[in-house]
Amino acid sequence: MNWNKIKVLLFKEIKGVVRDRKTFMMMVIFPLVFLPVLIGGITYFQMKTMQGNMEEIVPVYIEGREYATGLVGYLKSSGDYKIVDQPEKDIAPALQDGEIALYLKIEPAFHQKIIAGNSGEIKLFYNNTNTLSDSSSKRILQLIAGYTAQIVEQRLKGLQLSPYFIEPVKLELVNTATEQEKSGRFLGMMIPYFVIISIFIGAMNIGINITSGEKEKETLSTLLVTQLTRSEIVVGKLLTLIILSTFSAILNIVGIVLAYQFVFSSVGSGMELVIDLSANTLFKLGGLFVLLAFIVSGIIILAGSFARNIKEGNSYVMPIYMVVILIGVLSMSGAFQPAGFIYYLPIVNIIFLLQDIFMLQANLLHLWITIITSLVFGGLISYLSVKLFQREEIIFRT
Amino acid sequence: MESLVKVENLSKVFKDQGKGEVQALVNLNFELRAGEIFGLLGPNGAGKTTALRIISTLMQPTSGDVFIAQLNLRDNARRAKEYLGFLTAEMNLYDYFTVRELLFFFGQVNGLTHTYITDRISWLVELLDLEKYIDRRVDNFSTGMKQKVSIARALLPDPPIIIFDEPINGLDLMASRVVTNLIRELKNEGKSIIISTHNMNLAENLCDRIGILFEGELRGVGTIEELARNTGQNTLEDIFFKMVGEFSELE
Ligand SMILES: Nc1ncnc2c1ncn2[C@@H]1O[C@H](COP(=O)(O)OP(=O)(O)OP(=O)(O)O)[C@@H](O)[C@H]1O
Ligand SMILES: [Mg+2]
Repeated sequence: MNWNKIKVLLFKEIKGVVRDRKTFMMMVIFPLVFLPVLIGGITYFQMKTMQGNMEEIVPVYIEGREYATGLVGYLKSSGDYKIVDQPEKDIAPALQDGEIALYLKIEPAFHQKIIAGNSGEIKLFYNNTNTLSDSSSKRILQLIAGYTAQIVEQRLKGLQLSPYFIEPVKLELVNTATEQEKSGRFLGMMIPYFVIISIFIGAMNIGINITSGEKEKETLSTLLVTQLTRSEIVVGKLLTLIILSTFSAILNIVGIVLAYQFVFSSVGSGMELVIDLSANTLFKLGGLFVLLAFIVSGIIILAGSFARNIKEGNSYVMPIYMVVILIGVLSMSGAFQPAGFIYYLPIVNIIFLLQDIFMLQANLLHLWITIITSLVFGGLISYLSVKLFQREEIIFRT
Repeated sequence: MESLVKVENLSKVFKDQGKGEVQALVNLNFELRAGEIFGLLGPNGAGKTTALRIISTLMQPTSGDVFIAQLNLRDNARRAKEYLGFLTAEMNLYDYFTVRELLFFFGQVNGLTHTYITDRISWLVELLDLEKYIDRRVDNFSTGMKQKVSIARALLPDPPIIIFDEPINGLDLMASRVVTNLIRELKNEGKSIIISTHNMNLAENLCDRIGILFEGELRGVGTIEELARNTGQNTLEDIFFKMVGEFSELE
């Protein structure tokens, strides 16, 4: 291995990518402009709609309101509801198209039953596909629970009992999670997904171009007749991909964090992203990014060297990309509790370890298992790539 | 005379998934003598590119040997490369680079020093008439210009042997003329050159000796006079068809 020559090749490859305006713009503009605008836009509007729903006056139709004047008065006094007349349509379509958001049906015996100490029956109809109907159904439940509590209190008073009679235990929930832990949970869900996707996308186009692309254009022959050995060529190309895809992952994270920070502060949600920027954490994160980039780049170099041309290269890499997206989605869904064996699976272990680090639960043993399996797996793939490069029936496949 | 390239009993068999075994080269024997232009003349699929790739260390022979300046490629490929400049039939270059950047890149991976490369570039620029283009990006160059840059790349380390696979394929009349003159000039500079071609005119005008390659076999090797004497034909075209044995009954 002559590192000087590898460095020359590496610089040449990176220069080629930077000068390829389309690829480079995608690499920089996408994470720093497009992604934040996308994330920011979506979250901003989601939050705005939620807030809007909170403020909106909810049209409610109450059938049999004369049987529950107390409750209706209670609802009205909250100021959030407008009691409307019976819609001309049927209930279901009226809920569906939002003419009314809620429909309450009160049984004729409601009042008598309450007075008699029984339960009066109410049916609440809503449609969860209509945003306002869905959110106000939850809010009205709370309101009715408040009304119920008033009645209970009166009944207890009538029996000369204190309200504590039915609340023998008073429970208070105290969330001790720090701002940082809350942010960690949030980032731990988001970031590993974006890291794997951005590393993969970053490495994919460039990697196929500098392997299959060179075969297709036959520039590879001009490289092979130089004093570079085939392993030096593979190492140079691998390093190019590792560097560029790590760079792309970092840009993506910066873009995402900035986007959320902007959204949270501008909506005034009270949530704030607190990120641990200690050298220790950054070192671990950086190391894991590079390891992930190492494996992903190796896979792409391997597929790209095997393929005859760019089109074939892309078709080999696509299915791998799908699997990677699946892993990313799984990690983001949080539906998956990582078991111990997960940390022996290359790529997957890095994703979950990244999550652990953000959630402040990283385990040193898992860290070491991940580092070692990644190095072994990445090394194996790189070795295979070198072997492929040494086989003329692969390099000169027609 | 000393032979710079010696090809001995060279055979190449490809195991092709579709076509099964392809015998691309059968027991080839020829040499490149110092200071000459040797032409491999043959139709499509004759095995020209395969032969040149093996000589350039890109492929391994199935059997037989190739010596470059007395070095057997089987165990001295790395050192033998220093004697070789190779031009592929495809005239593609790395996009997004200027001529100077490309030449520096190839010079540096070949272990040449900065001063050496700078000196060579000024010499090559003059030889190839590249002054105006040296700092332009090659993406938009014409095929002829790209071929010139490829020649500059191959000549940069000043190798004594230069191998051209189809040097004027795809070039227009003007560009062909420029490249042909250049190859002659290289010969005058003392280079030894192998070209492959299916172009009779080029072979006739440029080559000191010709090997007629057909279906992987060398049907004859020699100067045009020698080949004419052996076949009793006058023109290279007649010699070719006579040696190839096909269509002869049409006469
Ligand atoms: N990498 C390969 N794998 C399988 N078969 C090959 C390979 N390269 C060449 N061949 C076969 O070997 C034979 C010789 O091919 P080669 O490319 O050397 O011919 P050529 O004389 O250069 O022809 P052309 O004028 O088309 O360039 C052909 O039958 C070709 O199909
Ligand atoms: Mg050819």
